[in-house]
Amino acid sequence: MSYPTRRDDVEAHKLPDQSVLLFESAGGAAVPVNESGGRIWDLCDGKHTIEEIVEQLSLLYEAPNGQVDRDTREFLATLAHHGLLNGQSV
Amino acid sequence: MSLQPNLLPFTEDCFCVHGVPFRLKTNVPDARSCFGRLYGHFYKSGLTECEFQAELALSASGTFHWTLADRTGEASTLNATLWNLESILCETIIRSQRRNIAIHAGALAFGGSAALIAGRSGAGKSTLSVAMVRRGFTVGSDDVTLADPDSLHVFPVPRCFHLDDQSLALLRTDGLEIPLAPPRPPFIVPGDFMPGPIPACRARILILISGQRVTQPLLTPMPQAEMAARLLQETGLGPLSHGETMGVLSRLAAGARCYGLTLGPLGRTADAVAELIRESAGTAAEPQAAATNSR
Repeated sequence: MSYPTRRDDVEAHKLPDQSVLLFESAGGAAVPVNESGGRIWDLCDGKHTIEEIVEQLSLLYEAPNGQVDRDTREFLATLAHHGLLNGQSV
Repeated sequence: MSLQPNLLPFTEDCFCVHGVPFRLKTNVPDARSCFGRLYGHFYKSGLTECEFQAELALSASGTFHWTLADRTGEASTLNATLWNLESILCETIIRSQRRNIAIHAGALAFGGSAALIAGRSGAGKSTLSVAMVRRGFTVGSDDVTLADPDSLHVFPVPRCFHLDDQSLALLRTDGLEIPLAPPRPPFIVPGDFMPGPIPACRARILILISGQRVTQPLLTPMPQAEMAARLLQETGLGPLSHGETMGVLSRLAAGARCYGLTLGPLGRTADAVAELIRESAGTAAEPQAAATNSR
């Protein structure tokens, strides 16, 4: 069971159009994400499993569960690729 | 018969460009005229304390030399010397900023606000900026704009337009003939097109040029977060930390409408940008809530 956990030193700038900019100050990486990405980021608090994150997103978006699951996992992989999550949390 | 050039006495002019006072000394009247046009809105008479002095001199051997602090160079033509010194001056003005960050973007003024046009070098900022002049816009800069981290006011740094032969040909198709006839050096500056300096204002529109020119211009809304991230790539190291700079750019994007622009034919592109800006001015709104920042 994995609990995605965002790094404490990553800033999340929430913009008025609901897009979110994730900024990792140590390396200077700036990763813009959309509203749903911002929601996933909020849920990467180390207390939610991937399945729970998918479940919560499914309640918010009218999309088939399978698609939400796929998109969420892809997004988490992207966050991990940019080094924005703690080590082995995904 | 002497082949030595008849050297003229040096003149000195003082300017204070966005808080940076400096003196320009030259014995070349054309150079004085060029920098006078470039920084004319920043002319300061009686300035005694300057941060640095720039000098452009014609030597007895007929070559041109420029000096700024510990940097120096020479060239056989005045044009090359003007461009070199102008570039170093711009860099020095940026480096001398104590608070403002420098964004690699041009600035157009409209209705008490500004539109920033960002993009990599060679993306087409200068050509588009000059084309916007024909459409009634005031161009503050085609290349660099400072942003105050507190007020978010933007301050264009005037530069001479870097227009190559292709740019000039494109502008000709748009009906703008740039006078290149000698003896006037091709040192075209924003001041040639505008009556006065752009007052301090905020940027309400951010446009990022990218991609190759296509048959029709394409202006598409861009998420504010993406714009902030892209502007970070176009923002040099300044007086603020990386994180503080990111915060400023986020707030800048938060208060603006953001668009990506793929260039089409120059005339149609400039028309599209002009229409977008005029529409935005017509529906001018106070900036939306500022970006919030959390960890």
